Amino acid sequence: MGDPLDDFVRRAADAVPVPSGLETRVRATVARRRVTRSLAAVAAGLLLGLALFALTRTERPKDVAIAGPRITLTDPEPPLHLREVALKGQVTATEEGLSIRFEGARHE
Amino acid sequence: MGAPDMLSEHLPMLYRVAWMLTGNEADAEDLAHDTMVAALSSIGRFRAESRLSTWLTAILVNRHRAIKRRSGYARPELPVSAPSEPGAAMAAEEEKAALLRALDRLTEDERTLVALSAYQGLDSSEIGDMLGRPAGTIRYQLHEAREKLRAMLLEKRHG
Repeated sequence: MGDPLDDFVRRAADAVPVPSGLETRVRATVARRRVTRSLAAVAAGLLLGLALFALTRTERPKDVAIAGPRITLTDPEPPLHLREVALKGQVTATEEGLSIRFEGARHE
Repeated sequence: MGAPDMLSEHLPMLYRVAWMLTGNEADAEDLAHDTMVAALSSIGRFRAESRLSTWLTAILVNRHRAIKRRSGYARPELPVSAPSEPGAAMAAEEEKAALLRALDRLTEDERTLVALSAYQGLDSSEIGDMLGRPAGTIRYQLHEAREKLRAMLLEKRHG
């Protein structure tokens, strides 16, 4: 036989009826959470799959459009056409300094 | 032990410990429910070093303390007198009401110690492990709490 205090506490607490729906409520919550977790896992898998699909299917631009002649390392010579240009200039002394004026650029 | 066994075997104990801690049936039901759901979700973390009932009670006590820290419970008025029912039923109701009133006059910590020791039969070192205190401290605090409860119950009986 234990301490009378322990006996009293146990007897009084054991007389408290457990709500009849408690076990059902716990089972329902656990089942609901399992379904929610499964759905979340499926949704996460789908999203991951879609993201991977989108990444692998996206076509990247192969060339970048650049104005002007293209030079690659494989070209034997740069396809540049150097041309001589003749300019006629006139130099005049002004109050502010020298004034240089070019006229009529002419290709030769 | 499977989930159905765990539920059937330990839910009544959890509910009654929760009743002792919260002091009312509605909060006890919520606390026992939340505890069992949490336990079933994390049953993989249970190590057989402790008894399953002790592990479950530890979850319950931690949740209870977290609720008290946050907002606490809306505790209803305790019954002033037992309902008048004949014979043994009346005696049981009177004992429940007397215990609830006495527990209500203990501090939160004392109530927890009494519930774990007197109702659940845990010893000082088990309670110490659960509450993170040395067994010697628990022994002293438990002695104080039990004497206080004993005095209150005797006072009620003689009063």
